[in-house]
Amino acid sequence: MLCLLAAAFIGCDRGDSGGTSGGGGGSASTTQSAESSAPKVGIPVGTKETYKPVVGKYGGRKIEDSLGEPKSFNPIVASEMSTVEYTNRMFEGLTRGSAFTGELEPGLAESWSVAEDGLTWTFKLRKDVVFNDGSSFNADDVVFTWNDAVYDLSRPADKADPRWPCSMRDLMTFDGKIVKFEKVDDYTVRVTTPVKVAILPDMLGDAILLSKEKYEPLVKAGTLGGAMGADAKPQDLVGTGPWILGEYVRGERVTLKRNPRYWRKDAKGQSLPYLDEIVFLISRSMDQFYLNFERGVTDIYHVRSGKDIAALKPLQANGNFDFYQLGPAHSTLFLALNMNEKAAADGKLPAHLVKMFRDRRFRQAVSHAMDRTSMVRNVYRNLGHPQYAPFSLAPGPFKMDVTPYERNIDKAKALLREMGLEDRNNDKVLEDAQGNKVQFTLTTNSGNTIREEMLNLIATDLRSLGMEVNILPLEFNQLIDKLDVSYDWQAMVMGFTSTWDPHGGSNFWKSSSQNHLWWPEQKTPGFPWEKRIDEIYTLGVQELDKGKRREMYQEWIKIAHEEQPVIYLAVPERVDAIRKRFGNLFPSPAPMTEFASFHNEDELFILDGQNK
Amino acid sequence: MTAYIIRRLIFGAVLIFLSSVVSFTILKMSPGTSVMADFDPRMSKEYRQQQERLLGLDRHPVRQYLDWLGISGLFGDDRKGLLQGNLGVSFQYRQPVSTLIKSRLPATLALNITAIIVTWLVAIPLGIYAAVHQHKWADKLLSLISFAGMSLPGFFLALVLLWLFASRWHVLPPGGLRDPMGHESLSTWGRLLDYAHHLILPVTVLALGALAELQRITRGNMLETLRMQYVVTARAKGLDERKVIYKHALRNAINPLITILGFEFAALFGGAALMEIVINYPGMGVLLLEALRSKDQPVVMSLFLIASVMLVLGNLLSELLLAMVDPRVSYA
Repeated sequence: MLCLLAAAFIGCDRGDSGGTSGGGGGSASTTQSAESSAPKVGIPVGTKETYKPVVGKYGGRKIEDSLGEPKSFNPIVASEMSTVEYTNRMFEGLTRGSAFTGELEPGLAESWSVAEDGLTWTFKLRKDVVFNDGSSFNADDVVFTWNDAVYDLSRPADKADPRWPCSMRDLMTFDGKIVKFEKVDDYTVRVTTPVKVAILPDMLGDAILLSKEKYEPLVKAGTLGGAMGADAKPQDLVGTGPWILGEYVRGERVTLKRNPRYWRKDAKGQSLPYLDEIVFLISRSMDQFYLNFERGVTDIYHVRSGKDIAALKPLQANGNFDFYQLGPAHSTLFLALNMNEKAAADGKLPAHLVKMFRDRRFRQAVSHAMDRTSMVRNVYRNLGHPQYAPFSLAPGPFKMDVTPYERNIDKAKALLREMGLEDRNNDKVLEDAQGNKVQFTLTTNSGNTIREEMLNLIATDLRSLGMEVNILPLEFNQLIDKLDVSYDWQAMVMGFTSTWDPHGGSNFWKSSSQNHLWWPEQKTPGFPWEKRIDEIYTLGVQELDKGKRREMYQEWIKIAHEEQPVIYLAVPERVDAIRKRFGNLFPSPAPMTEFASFHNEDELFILDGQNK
Repeated sequence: MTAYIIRRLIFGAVLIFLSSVVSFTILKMSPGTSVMADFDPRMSKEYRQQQERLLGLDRHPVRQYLDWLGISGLFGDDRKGLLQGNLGVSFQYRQPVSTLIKSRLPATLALNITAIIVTWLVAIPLGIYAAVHQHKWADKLLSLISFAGMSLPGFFLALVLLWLFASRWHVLPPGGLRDPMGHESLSTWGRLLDYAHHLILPVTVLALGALAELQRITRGNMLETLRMQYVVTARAKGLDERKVIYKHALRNAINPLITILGFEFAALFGGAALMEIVINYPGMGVLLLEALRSKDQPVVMSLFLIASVMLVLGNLLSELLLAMVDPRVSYA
């Protein structure tokens, strides 16, 4: 599940105007002391207790938008949202996360347990599962998927590298060692990890399980990576999921049809799903989404800001839809300052800037200068929440209260004065003792209106402290080049989608990681607190005791709140407008916006008189 | 004549080769790398290096160009290139570029050909009419429309029309090639009408932009030929005015238009890229934009290659047509 939740590409977080967002980059789900401040505009989401599906009726279809073309239908190779959206529905994993709490529920495994050593896991598989081609699912398929498809262990001896890309392979490699999958009997799989992995069952929830019978020849031929491409036929995609591929018309739509052999049954023993098909209209822009919904073509619209609500409200009566309020988005938006001393030594950015940025007082001053309330008001039109520490505000198992960084210019100025930053020559700009101006360039990815608007507000706030800030939005891959290769950026606004579990952010928080934004790939952590976070992230994932794990990650939140390694800004409130056509509609606060309202898609059915 | 064509084709090939070198160089020099477009902060460095090896991006840029061209393929490399008739595999879609292009081509051709036909059918008569009625109110009105059409950017006009006709009045679809849901269930005629319904807006905008220019050129040329001695002679000997205009003047005024036709041929594939993006049209323009943004090298290179081939062929075509239409032109 981690892999799926943390998809990281353009158009991933729709609440963010199709902006870019990186996977799991640094937040766990917790709440803030100040309870949700967003205005009530829709029906609140239910809870696990209120979720009571009834027996439905067969037939009908559901139509929604999808941003961009599917790149392929191959669950092993795919990782971008525009592909995962489909593979997640056609394939399944051993476990699945509850849409309401994130807690694990049985998937293709009905139960699992871990041995005393904390390394050996045993998964008992369901016996009633068949693939969509009619062949039965058993332990061989699980072992095959992991050993041959993910790790590509059966490649010829002359190939050192696996023959196709697979992001799951990378995530499931610990200390350079892979996880061992063995068949015990037809319906039991033993999984042995090289180190303790608390979230192993979560990770095995990744919807990738393939039919051995169908795909073994492709692995032998070395062609699995290119198989199941965007030109695949329905019979090329053999999974166990509730949906099978109907048709993909390039540039227009993808249709998924119900899998008549799906194993999940309703209370009367009829097999799910009820809907005949779900259709995804391929659109290139969020404006197209809006038009499609306004014209009554699509059944759901992910509201972007308060502006949309105002525009849609008058259409509600004729448009036959309700607003559902899903709570804060599982995402983060933050201002990062480049603290990379090595880059400064290489002349990539001024050394005095890095020195300032590395001073905690500077970052705290910046945090105190941020007018988060006006960000929420102006950028999200009130449909948002201020954010102060590294977690999305959505409810989750890692909740914690923190003190907000209230906007306080005097306090911020005092902190800067304490550092020796003052206006020494009356030009209204701060200078350090050597006379270097506090002047830097602030960037973000261009084309993301939310972030660009945010940039302007931040610059205004910083100018009020006496800093000279230039704004320069960049094309996404150019920005990534600066982050990853040249390191010559100064300050930037970035955002990530997050997962229920904080471990999704480990590559962001570990100082040795390539994606430790403010100074990647450090040989030894530069700050004592970075060292402590490294320890927490290394040990946290190995701690199988839930209570102890929670404590560890709370320490991480405290450190991040105190040190402000990146300055968190605000997150949007998620609101979906959904047509009143569906029975069993129980919108949830699940992390992935694409699934939050329709997490139980297989149970949805068309209400009487609502077929179109 | 044959010798001329062969000579032109050889020059064309050299031109295409040089333009591919230039476009590859620019692509390589632009910031950002291809794999980075697939940025995911959870992936390790080793993983990304592996990806680069898979795509051949770890090789020297010159080598990458040779790979694409197929020179490496000639020396036993397992990467097939252009010389082997292989346009490569898209980084983004992991599919042969030819498949991607094939699936987009009909839609783009439908849009561009319709737009060209409409433009020519409307522009030439209007140009003639304006020339014959020079300085009359109709001519002035046409000039006004032409200048407006030339100066209004097409994408802006498209957005305004979309807003009016699709969003406010709901008389035209909000873009696309056909009705994504109902199209399949229509009869053959219904389907054609559905296509036509979707083409109204983009064709109107494209035609309005091109119309202005074509109409002005026709008018200018007509005015010039109408002042020629032979026209005066024709009129003096009492020839029917229609015959004077269509037989004597128009035949002589048409040459520059044929050159333009050559360019329009070149623009068949990519000419409406901006329009396609604005109206979410499943054509080549959107493909090119996405490929450029994510630096999908094989797709970008193939599309550029096609564009330059079309330009060379279009020019050749217009020269040959000119020789056919005008007996004074000869390439012997």
